[in-house]
Amino acid sequence: MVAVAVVAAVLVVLHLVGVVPVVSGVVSSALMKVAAPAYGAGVALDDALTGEAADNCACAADVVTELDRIMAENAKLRSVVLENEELKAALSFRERGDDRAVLSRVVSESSDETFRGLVIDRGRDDGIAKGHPVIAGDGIMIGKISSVGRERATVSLLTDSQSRLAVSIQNGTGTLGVLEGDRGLSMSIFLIPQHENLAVGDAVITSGIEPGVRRGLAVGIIDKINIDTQDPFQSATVTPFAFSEHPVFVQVVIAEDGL
Amino acid sequence: MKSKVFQFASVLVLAVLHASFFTAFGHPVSLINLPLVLIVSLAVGLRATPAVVAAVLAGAVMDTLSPVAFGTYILAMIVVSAVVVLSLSTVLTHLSFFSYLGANAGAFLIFHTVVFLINASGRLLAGQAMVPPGLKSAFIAVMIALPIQLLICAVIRLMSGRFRKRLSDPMALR
Repeated sequence: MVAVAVVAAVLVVLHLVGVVPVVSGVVSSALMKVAAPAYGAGVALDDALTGEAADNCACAADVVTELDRIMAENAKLRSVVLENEELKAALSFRERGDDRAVLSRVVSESSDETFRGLVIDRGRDDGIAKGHPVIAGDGIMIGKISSVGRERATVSLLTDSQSRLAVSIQNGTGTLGVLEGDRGLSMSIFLIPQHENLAVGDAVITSGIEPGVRRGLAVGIIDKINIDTQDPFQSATVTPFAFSEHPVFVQVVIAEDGL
Repeated sequence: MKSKVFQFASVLVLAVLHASFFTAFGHPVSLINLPLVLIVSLAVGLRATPAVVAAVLAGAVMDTLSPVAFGTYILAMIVVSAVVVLSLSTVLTHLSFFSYLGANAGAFLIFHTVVFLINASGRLLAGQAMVPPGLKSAFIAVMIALPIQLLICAVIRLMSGRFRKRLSDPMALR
């Protein structure tokens, strides 16, 4: 038992210092190939279950069997439709912009409440580096690359508590602010001067002042404005776009300035 | 030999599903740890070495597919399997249904505690706050997932008991 633990510890150290990259690379890419469709199936099943749960009814046994068959078929079709929609949106973003974007499959999500992130199946070999913006659908920014390996990368979602992003509010004056994640649930913009006019429904986009993140990527919509007359600043709660929930495909926008 | 290959293959499949398929469902489903159930079952059968090997395999797969530092889950799984093996050979020597559930509950809580401590150490080394803002909700999520995990363990235990009985005496369950 002790010998197995020691061998495992040695392998972990060798992996971390990069001594066994060939073996770990092959194993890792094989696991990614299996895990990506499994995650996609999970997202499709989750969508199907949450959709069907609302109109659940008591039915006769034979009808239930038929319903189960149709639901299983529906889940498969939803999976295909979901992937198709995400790929169409990704293609639309690519056709419009000049940026180089790397299309990646999401392999898994973080199951840890203290870190909201994704693992994607592309890495350093595809030009991805720490800090690159990650978008879902047709240009909706969902996070930034937080760590990168040869053939995989970790995305820190904008809703993660450690996440920070320079943004601009589309309120006519282009108010600048720093967007912070809030425990994986929502996002907030703090330190907005009291004299700035904000309204619920104003769109929030990337400001372009952060290295490697270009201006104009959609982030979310202002959901609530918090004004305290005693405070020189106001804050706003931002709701992310629905498209950014459980993405199956994402694109990493590669900065031309060599970030 | 065949059974060992089957056990390790099962651990690998469960680890892949745990790190990819189940994460899409969010909490508390994503916290349910099926590889851990299998590893505890191996340890309960007093098969220490296969339990630790399975723990290393499951941990390696989970580390590869999860956004944590490589080695986090391997270490957590090794600690869990070692604690379960030691406690079953010294404290929980009477292998009843409830000691099996107790071992699973302990394993589940130790696993999440070790993962938290490793992540907290990483945050501390990176100059961030050791206690992240989502800690309270993370704790609640683990506490909600625990009874579900134990229910799955109980069902597996009861099913395997019936299965074993059927194998040993096919007439007994008729």
